[in-house]
Amino acid sequence: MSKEKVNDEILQENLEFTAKYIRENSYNGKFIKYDDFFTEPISLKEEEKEIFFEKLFSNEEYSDISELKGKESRYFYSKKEMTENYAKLLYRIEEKDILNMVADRIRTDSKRYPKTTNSNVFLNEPYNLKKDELAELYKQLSNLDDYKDIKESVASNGVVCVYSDKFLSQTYADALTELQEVTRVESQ
Amino acid sequence: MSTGGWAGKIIRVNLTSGKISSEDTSKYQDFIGGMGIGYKVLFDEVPAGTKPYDEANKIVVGTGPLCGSGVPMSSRTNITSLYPGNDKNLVTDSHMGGNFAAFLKYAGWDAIIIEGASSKPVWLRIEDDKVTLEDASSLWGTGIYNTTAVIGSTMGKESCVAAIGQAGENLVNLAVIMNGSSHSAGGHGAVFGSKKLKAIGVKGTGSVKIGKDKKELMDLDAYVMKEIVGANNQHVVPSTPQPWSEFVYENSRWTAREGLTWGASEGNIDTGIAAPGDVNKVGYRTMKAIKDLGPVAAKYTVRMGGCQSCPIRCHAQMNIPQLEQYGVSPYAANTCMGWFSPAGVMFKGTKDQKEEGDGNMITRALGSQLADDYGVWCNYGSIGRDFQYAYESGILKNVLPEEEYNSIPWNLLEAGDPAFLKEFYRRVTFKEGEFSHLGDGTYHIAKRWNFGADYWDTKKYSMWSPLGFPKHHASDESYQVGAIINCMFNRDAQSHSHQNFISSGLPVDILKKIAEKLWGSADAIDPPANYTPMNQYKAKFAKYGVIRNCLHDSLTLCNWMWPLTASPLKEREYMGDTSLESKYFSVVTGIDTTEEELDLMGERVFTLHRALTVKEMGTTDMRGQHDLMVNWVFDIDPDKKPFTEGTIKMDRDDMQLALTMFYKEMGWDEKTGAPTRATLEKLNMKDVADELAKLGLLPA
Repeated sequence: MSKEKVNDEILQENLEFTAKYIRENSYNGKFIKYDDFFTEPISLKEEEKEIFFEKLFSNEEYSDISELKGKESRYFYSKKEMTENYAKLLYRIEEKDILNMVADRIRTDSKRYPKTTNSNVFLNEPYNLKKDELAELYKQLSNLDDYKDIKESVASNGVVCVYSDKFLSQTYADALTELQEVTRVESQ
Repeated sequence: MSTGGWAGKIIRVNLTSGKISSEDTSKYQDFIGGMGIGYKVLFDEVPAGTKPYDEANKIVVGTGPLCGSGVPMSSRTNITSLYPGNDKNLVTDSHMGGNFAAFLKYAGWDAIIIEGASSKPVWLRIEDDKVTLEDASSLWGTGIYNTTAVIGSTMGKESCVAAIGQAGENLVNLAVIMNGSSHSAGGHGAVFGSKKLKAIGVKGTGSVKIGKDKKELMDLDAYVMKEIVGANNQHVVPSTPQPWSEFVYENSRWTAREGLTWGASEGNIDTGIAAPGDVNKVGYRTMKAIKDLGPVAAKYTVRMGGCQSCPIRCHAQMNIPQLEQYGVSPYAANTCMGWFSPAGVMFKGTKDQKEEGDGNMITRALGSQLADDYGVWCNYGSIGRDFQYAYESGILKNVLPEEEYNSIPWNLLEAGDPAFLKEFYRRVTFKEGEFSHLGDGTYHIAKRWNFGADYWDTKKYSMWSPLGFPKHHASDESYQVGAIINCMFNRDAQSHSHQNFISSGLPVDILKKIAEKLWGSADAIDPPANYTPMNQYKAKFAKYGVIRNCLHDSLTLCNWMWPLTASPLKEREYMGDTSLESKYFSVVTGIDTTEEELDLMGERVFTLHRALTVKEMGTTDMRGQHDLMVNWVFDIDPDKKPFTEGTIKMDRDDMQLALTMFYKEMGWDEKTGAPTRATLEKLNMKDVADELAKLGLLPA
């Protein structure tokens, strides 16, 4: 067997292994970062990277593997195992773009559902903000022009929700908040 | 009779004579089972004017052909009888999950018709074909927990016991029948009590026969588990962002996520990523404990339990050591209103004891144990709201004798101390003083204590009907569709067919696409809090909601999950499969039945309910005397107009149009809302039409 053929087979095995590895991590809600390719278990060699990435993105078998470019890293995931919405969220987390992460969720909820967003959802997975961080973040949002559309709506039981007034009027937001935080909780 | 599904026999117990006989189920096959059998028995055998506690009243405990067969979410018991919660005493159903229904099928029975009244306390023992009445004098006066334990130890661990507590014995209108110590059916406990029937114990060694190839059943199960089923209430979107989902909806009961654990389980089981298709993790999807008891409940959760044949596990099994200070077990289990109702009684709030939220959790767990053991029902949460109104309006102080008023430890209520619940439930259960009339039910207590119009006309108290039952997924959530459905039954509408779809977690544009396929137009549903005038597609959606509800309670399937209108899968465009009930029916019974044919059977059951209501009320004027809504539905948001963004305010004329369109869909008289002869005969109920004609109760 020629050396080229052996190398091709090794490359193919590595690609298959890598795609599987990316898919498994995507299923579990994790990106593979560019640096991860060069450490265990992928252990890509520097001299192989050009041909490796070319094959990874040109082969139909790996068409689900997608890439997002960040400021300092590149993030890889499988579109089959991770939705683009989740990838976008994870990207914001990785890039520490917390203001946009929060604003994205609020605006999407207001526009698409439509609904307001319980202000505490960012305390849970995968956001995992601390209470004081979240309070500080809302303060920042209210002081920045880019996020002036983010407003507060309070239910009759005191639960605080947030919404974007690009998509919802205050009156409508208040009705949606009441529906979500009071009416739907009353009816089991 | 077909070869599959039905056991083929019904027990008839006459408690007056002690006679126990067996009847052929085939007589009721047109009415499927459960609810359908119940309505037919009451229509044929209970004279109009009978009161719930009269010896002439009957109570039917029924299952359906799909129960016990291996169909997912199918262990439901439907109980039908007259309801004591208002002066009309109309037919109602109460339902319970647990194991009872399936065990009854395994014993070889589809239903139990209970008639007459015993002169002394008895319990019914069913062990396959052997059915006997046993002396219950040593159980009378004890709670459901003791009764269940004693009969369970007598019959063995493979038995299931449905019992009443002291509330049922004492003819408290708001009383339950309960199996498995926490699966309760509310509203008919005192009918058992009036007949001196303490409990039914059942043990079966048989099985449910499958009419067609069993592989077809297994294939359907695999398909449902992989592609269709969601979390509790058929929510198909997760409550926190998950890698598999393009949507997130924080109110969803699909709570599974990494780091959310059954904190009191051995090994601290993580609910993890329970993605669609991963059939072995369906049981982790719904951690109802944190929805019902708050985030603090996670670490007290031993596991999520539930009913026989159900993969969803919505029943939280808790170990809360703090409960022992109130003299009850630390082990508590329940779901939904079982936890919520005690919090409604403690309307002044609860005080945390050691950590954030534990006061609320302890209150709910203590209250659920007290109510469950005594067998007190809440009228879908109204008992707490009635109490709140009477207290805050000053009525209680006026109507209670001074000595009695002063004997109630109001300081505990004011301080948010759950010990107040011990006083509350004991007084109601044992009919101690005037206060105990809270257990009579809203209609009676409002009349007795002269509740003001502000009670009925304020959304805060959640009342729906002047007959004294509250809203249950009504106009405030689903506009005309919810309003129609809430008007149709004789107690709170226990229909989730419409609401589970609307609250599935999918955005409105996707819901509308599904609605268009199912009911002919995207206009069948509205964006939340932004509804439009009535149209025929909403009438079709409402009919779907009611008909499927009746089908489920007849088949018997859990309407808290079924119908599976939406799916969690994007590749299905989130479409569920509304033909599944008919597919399962065909496979299990061996009778090929299309979706349309089965829906027609549901229509028959519901039209019989309507005919029974007409007969019991002695009028065809359902529109004017039955299908009623209280004023807040129309007068809420005084500054807003109906059909404008941001209000749930309904329009009176539009609601009358909604009823007309619904009556038309049902083939009922459009003026009165009563079933016509033509429709009754189309549904093979000529005998019902003849009986109504004889009573002068067919619309002109």
